[in-house]
Amino acid sequence: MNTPSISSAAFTYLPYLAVFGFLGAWMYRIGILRNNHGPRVGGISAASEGALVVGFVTIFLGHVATTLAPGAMRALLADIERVAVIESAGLVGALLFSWGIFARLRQRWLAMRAGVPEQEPRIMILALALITSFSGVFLTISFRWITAWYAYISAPYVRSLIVLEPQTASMVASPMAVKLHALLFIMLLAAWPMAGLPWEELFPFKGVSKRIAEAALAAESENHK
Amino acid sequence: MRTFTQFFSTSVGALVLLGSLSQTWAADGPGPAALTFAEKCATCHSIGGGRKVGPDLLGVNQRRTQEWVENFIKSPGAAIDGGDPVANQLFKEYGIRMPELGLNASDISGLWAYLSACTEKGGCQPVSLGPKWGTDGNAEEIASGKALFFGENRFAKGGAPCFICHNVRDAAVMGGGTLGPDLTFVYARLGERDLEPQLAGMTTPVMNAVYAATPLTDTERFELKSYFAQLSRNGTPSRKENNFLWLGLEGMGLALGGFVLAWGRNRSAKNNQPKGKS
Repeated sequence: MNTPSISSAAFTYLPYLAVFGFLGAWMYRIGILRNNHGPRVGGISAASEGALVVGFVTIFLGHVATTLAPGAMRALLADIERVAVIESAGLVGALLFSWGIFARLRQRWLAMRAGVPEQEPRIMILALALITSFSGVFLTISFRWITAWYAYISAPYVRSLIVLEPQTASMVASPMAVKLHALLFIMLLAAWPMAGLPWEELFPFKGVSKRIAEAALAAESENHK
Repeated sequence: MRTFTQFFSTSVGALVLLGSLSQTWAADGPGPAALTFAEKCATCHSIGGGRKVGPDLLGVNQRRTQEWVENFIKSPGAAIDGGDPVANQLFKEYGIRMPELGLNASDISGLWAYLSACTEKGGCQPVSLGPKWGTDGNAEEIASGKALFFGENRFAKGGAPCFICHNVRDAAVMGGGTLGPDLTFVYARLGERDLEPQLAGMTTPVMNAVYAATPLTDTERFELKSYFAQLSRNGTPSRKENNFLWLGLEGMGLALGGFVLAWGRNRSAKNNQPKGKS
């Protein structure tokens, strides 16, 4: 009889527990806490906000596009030079995202040191996001070509989770760093609503759009002079 | 008298060896040394058939000492890098490094005996190894194997191209994948007998997970083995990996520099939403 390993059981059940945890915590936050984001803290530099947006979009698009259309992504990745370009872009995105998260974490840390209350859970979640992002950077540097690996190994696993028929063999056979990255993301997903961090903290799209609009207006008024 | 005795005993010894070899072949097929030669050496060397990728080994037992030959087979790289003049002369003459074959002491002494016996006979044809081996691949099949490895030709059942997880010497500047082992010398390391079942059954857990639903066809396996055999004929290792981190850090530096140039160094407003409790 084949006894399922701890690893197999973890990759079968933890993602669903994380989703339930996320939904439960999110309902609690919206329904009971009235989406309280806690005391305000200082902002981060424009460059760090830009890094967060570009990094988040790169990582999100890479993971989601590969999960939704693995066939198209595999066709795109069937050439070593294209893979090198995509992987390089992914690495830059992951580094930018880590930079942005670090800037946010630093602000929260400084606020806590200055005596602003309710910072601890937010610091913990941002630290977890930073570790997850760093583990992705580590994977990209240490294991080439992790983008293609995701397309062939991890994406089928994620798709099997979506259709409620988890196929964990490929994940269980993956290197420990790959498993750790996946588990860190699962933890982050489950814990995110607990911290009460506004969405803008991770993806400051409004702030960056505003800057772009201001820059465009300034350029236009400069042209009129 | 002493010279005659030495000659007599050597001749008798050689005849006994030849006799025992031919007896073994006749009764049980080729001996292990003949198989080892056919599998590991015949792609680059002949015994009396002339020069191939490497030298003709007919008479090697007369040109070199047993100790030198055994040490060289044990680790050609160590002999060349260690400054052995004969090894370096051969490297210079043939232009490629002989790969590390991973043979044990017993295999190597068996090969020495086989080469000596073949020299006495005036040459040996490599023994037949049954179905076509990777070493039998022609230029077209080798090219097809390379195209399969690098994803230029797709596997019929949609399996992942090899370069995603494996590197070889021919890979472009950034190199192949590093999730799996470098396959430049896989044919020399495993030989046909161990490589074929690995490709057919995808026996390692990761390979099994990737190719369980998309096994390679017989032709694809043969073409890949032909490519691996071709790579193994040259002992030059793959390039050292490029450090990917610096490329990423440079890209990040450029992006951050661009943001600072475009937007200056001012900070954003307080990052919490006004609707939240303050």
